[in-house]
Formats: sequence, C-alpha cells, structure tokens
Amino acid sequence: MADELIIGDKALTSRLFIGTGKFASHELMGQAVSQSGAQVVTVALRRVDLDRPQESELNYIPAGCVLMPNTSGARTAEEAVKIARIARAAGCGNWVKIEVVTDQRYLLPDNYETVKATEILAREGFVVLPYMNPDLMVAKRLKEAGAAAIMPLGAPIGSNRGLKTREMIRILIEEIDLPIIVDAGIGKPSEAMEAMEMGAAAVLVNTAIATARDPVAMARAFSMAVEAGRMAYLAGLAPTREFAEASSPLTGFLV
Amino acid sequence: MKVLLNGREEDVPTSVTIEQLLNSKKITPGAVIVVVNSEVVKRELWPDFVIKEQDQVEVIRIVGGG
Amino acid sequence: MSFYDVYKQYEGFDFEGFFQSRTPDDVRKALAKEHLEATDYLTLLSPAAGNFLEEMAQKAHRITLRNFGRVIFLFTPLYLSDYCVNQCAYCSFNARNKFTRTKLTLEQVEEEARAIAQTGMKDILILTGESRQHNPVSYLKDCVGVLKKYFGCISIEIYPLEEEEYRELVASGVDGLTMFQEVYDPGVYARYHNGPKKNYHYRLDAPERSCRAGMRTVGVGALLGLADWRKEAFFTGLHADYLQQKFWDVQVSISLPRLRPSIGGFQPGYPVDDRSFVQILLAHRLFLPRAGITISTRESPEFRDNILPLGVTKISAGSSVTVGGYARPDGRAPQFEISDPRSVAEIKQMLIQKGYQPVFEDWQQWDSLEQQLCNF
Repeated sequence: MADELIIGDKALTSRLFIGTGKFASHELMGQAVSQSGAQVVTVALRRVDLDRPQESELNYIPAGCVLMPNTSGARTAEEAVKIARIARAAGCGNWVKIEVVTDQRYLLPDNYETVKATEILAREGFVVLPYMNPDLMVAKRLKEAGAAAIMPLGAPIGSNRGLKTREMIRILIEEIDLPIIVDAGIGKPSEAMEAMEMGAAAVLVNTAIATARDPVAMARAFSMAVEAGRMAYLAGLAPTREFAEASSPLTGFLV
Repeated sequence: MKVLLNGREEDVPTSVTIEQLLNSKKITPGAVIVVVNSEVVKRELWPDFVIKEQDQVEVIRIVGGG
Repeated sequence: MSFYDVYKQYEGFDFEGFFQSRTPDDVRKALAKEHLEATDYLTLLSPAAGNFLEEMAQKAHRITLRNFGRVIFLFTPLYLSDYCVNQCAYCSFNARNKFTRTKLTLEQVEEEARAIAQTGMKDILILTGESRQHNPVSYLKDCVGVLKKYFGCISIEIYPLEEEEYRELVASGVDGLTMFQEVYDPGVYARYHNGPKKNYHYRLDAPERSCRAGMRTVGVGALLGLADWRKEAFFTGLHADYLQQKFWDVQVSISLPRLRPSIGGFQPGYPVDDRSFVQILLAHRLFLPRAGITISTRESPEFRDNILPLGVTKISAGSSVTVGGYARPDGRAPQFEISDPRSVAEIKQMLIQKGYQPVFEDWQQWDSLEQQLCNF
C-alpha cells in the first residue's frame, strides 16, 4: 500500500510542503518546487502595486500542486476569515493555512484567534490547516473546531533555529489524531528529517530553501531528507538502550 | 469621482466599470481578485460592474508566501 | 459518534489470525515504542507477548512511577441496596436469586458512613442493583447528601442513566462514575444478561453520557472470565482511550474485575489465570500510560501486593460487599466473595512498608473545601 498523506480530499505522496515567499525570482521558486516534488505550496494574498504591476507567481507553480493560501497579514480571526474567503473566490481552491499573528517581534501566532477562525472556516467547508504555537489543549480545540491538520511551529518564522519546540510537538503527535505538520523554524534538512523521524506527517519549509545559496538544490535536499525521515519512522527506529538501574524481577511471583 | 483604490484615494471617470479601471491601470485581469466594499466581485461581472463614488476597491493578487 | 463506531471498525477483523501471527520480534518492537498504536496494544495482548511479561513489567513499572509517583489511592465500596430487576448469570443480586432484599434508610446510610469514615477513608464508591422503583435517582441524591458530610470523593456504580440524571447527580455532589460494560462482545453480552440491562448500547454509551454531564472521573472495565480476555481487554483499553481522547478533562480509569464465586455457582466460560491477568494489566499500562488502574478486593492479598508495582494506581480497602455490612457485619448476601479481607489499617501498613504513600483523597470538591475554609 502506498504511504499517502490524506488531507481533505487529497492523497499526497510528497510530505514536503513548500512556502513560495522570499525567493530571488519566480523562476527559481518554480524550479525549486518542481525539483522537490512538493505537491502543496503556500501562497499569500497582497494588494497589487498599482504603480508597478507585476507578473503573477502562479504562472510558475507547477501544474497539479495544491495551492494553500495563507492568511498572513491577519491580526484577528475576522480578518483571517475574510482573507480565506477572498482566496477561495479567487479560485485558489478550498485549502487554507490559517495564520493569525499579532506579535510583531517574534511573529508568534495568536492561538486564540486561530481557533476562532478555524471553527468558522471549517463550517464553511474549507480544508483548514491552522499554524499554531504547539499547545496540546489548543490542538485539541482546533481538532474539535474541524481542522484538517495541525501545523505547530518548530521555532519562530524565518528563524531557521530548528525544532526548539520538539517536546511539545512530540506530545501533539502522540495525542492528536490528525496529521501534524511542522511549520516554521526548520532551517536544515537534518531538522526536517528529525521531525519526520518523530512521526510528523509532513513539514512546511520556506525560508531555508528560498534563502539558500542554491535554492533548487536545497529543495531537493529537503525532499530527500523528508523522505528518509519518513522511511525511518515507518521502519521503526531501533530501540535506544535504556540504562535502567539493575532492577529486581517484578513477575517472579508468577509460576 | 473619487474612490478608494487599494487604500489610496484616486480620481476615476464617473460610471467606470471594473474592467475599464483595470485596463487603465495596465493590470492583467487574469491574475487578480477584485473586492468592492468587502465583497469579492466575480470575474464575469467585471465588464458590467459599475464603480460608484466613495467605493472601496481592492485589487489583490496572489504572491509568494510561506 | 459513539464508542460503538470504534468497535465496529474491528468487525470482521481476524483476531485469531493476528494473535497467532505475532512473533517475539513484533513484541520487542511494540515494547520499544514510546507511544503505542492500537495494533501494538493488540500485540502485547497476544500469546507471543506472554513470554515477555518481565520486560513488560519493568517498563510498566517505570511508566507508572513517572506518571503517578509512589502513591496508591484508596477507596471503599458502599452497597446501598441489593434490589435488582436484572438477571445477570454471574451476580448474586440476580433477581432470580431468593434472599431478603434490603435497602438502607438514610439513617442507616449515615451509620455506614460513620463506620467507614472512622477508618480514615475519604473516597467512596456507592453501589446499588438496578431498580428504578427501589433505587431511584432521587434516593441516590438523598444518600449523596448524607455522604457528602463524610467523604471528599463520591463515585457511583449503578445502572446506566440519562445524561440529565447524571447531571443532577453531579450537581448533588457525585464526581465519579464506574460502569463496567461487563462484556464487549454483543453476542456474549446478550447471552448473560436479562432485564433492562439487556440494552447493550445504552450501557456502552453511559460513560460518555456521564462525561458530557460533567463527571470528573470515569472508570470502565470488562468482567474477566465471560469471553476471550484478549479481545475483551483490547476493547476495554480502546474504550478508555476513546473517552480520554474525547473528554480530555475527565480522568479515565480501567478496572480489572475478575469473576469471583457468587450465589448460583456461576462458572466462568473463559477463566483468567494470574499470568493472563498480569498480561492484561501490563498491556493496559503500556497502551494508556496516564490512565488509572483499579484493583478491587476480588483479588487475594498476596496477588494484590505482588501486582502493585505493575501499574496499579487505586485499590479498595476494608471492603464490605453486602448492604449495611460496615455498621453490622451480620452475614447477609454479598454481591460476590471478596478475597482480600484486610482492614484499612492493614492495607495502609502494607503500602507504607512497600514504599508507597497511601492517599485517601484524590481531590476535594470545591464546595466542601469552601466549607472547611468557612469553618476557620
């Protein structure tokens, strides 16, 4: 049986999601996505610069990719809902990454507003993937609100600091019966692999690819790391030996 | 007449349609979304949709994002 | 959505084939995992895992220490009434059994409460047979009103109720529910039960209704001996897991009631020996690291002492399983024969000697706490 990641009505074979921001050019972005085999890419909505109309990135995204507009720029649930509706009306499909950020220093997501937005959009038929600060109770509420997957951050957006929230993400993977997709903070392929070995369903990478010296090669490196991590997870990691203190038998009373 | 276009006050001809407005700004219609007073206006309505004085018009496009 | 939907997912699943195909290596892999999936759990219930009890025990012990520390909670059952309209083949309170039925008056409840409270117990589990005529919810509420003066935790083990009725009981001071499904296999269930209890689904959904009604602790269990224990244990664990996932503010626990001799001389069709009992206990602990595990006085003193470090979190002590048995131990019909007759003081002594702290009260209801503060 193929190892597919089912989200909404899509069965994905690639577990690397790529963010399309911050690339030096549309061409590089397009090549990076296609070389990595990613099937889900995030995009954002912005006002057109009326003085300098530009060509759309959309033309460079490989055909067949699921477009996942984010709600970046939203500071409240209402704004996120509005952005999601506009994106759907624009023909982006019904996937949405909810991203509500009020804190402008670390760009950490506002979990409370995120739950509210998730509830509204899931009811409206969106496939909702909320970006969140890994907190078990919030993840449970997001699940109840109808999220299709949960996207905890590994470290602040764009920080490339790796899985700083490793322990909390591990708990989400253990406790939440939804795909857990590590979003934000992953700076190296080895960190993406670490997340996958832990049992993350996928990872979303943007800055680490977009700002590498060779983004196309880096996208491929991430793709391989994600695949290797997934394979290791499925293969079942060998037990790490526990050096427990020599303990006396506990079942000696059984005959 | 005056409208609010992408947050900026602009002078536009009276009874201008969305299509005409985009053309005047040299915006390729294929890649944008138009929101008038918080409502998305479907593409097929653009040739007939007349913008009124003080309307808030947002022309939005999809860009790269994480 | 009900737990039955989870149960149904295994309809047609070849349990026998799965159990027989498990290898020592499968067991080792399941044991090495930090978080067990349902199939790992099933693997630990397989015959192959029967040869790994010591390894399972070491890990279960560590997990339990990590999650619960060196404490064991104590509780006492209090039988209010043995009137019952059901005919459960294995139970002494079976309506067909001829003996003089009795039901405590509120004065008698108070007498019992006083006798139990004197031993230091603070956590009480009240039980009745199923009879809406003799043991209506209003009667239970009155009893709880009396018991509240003596106990910090009051749980019920009675016939299944409507959500609204659970809510009433919660409001009156009940904070826990124990509801054994007895047997998860609907066919076997139908064979052993007659009377209103015949309604399998109504009973199966009762824990869930009580969670919605605001119950703080909920315990599930299967009567060990009625059907293939490997499957029964599996569904018990899945049921607990289901409740834990769905009602994350409720403390879920599992009991392992092993069938004991009762009036009528019922013989279990699938007797569970000590080794198998231990395997069930260990598999539960490894699958549900944070669930409570309760062992009653159905088990013998030696056996209870021995399994203490394997994942047990709560035990009953100084139990009487007859109506009115604390104030007047006069030899009325017990629900079943208990095996551990030790007093609360003896149990307490044993726990301390084994390095455990006996805890008499897990938590106090806010209003009783408030009362205490007002008394200052």
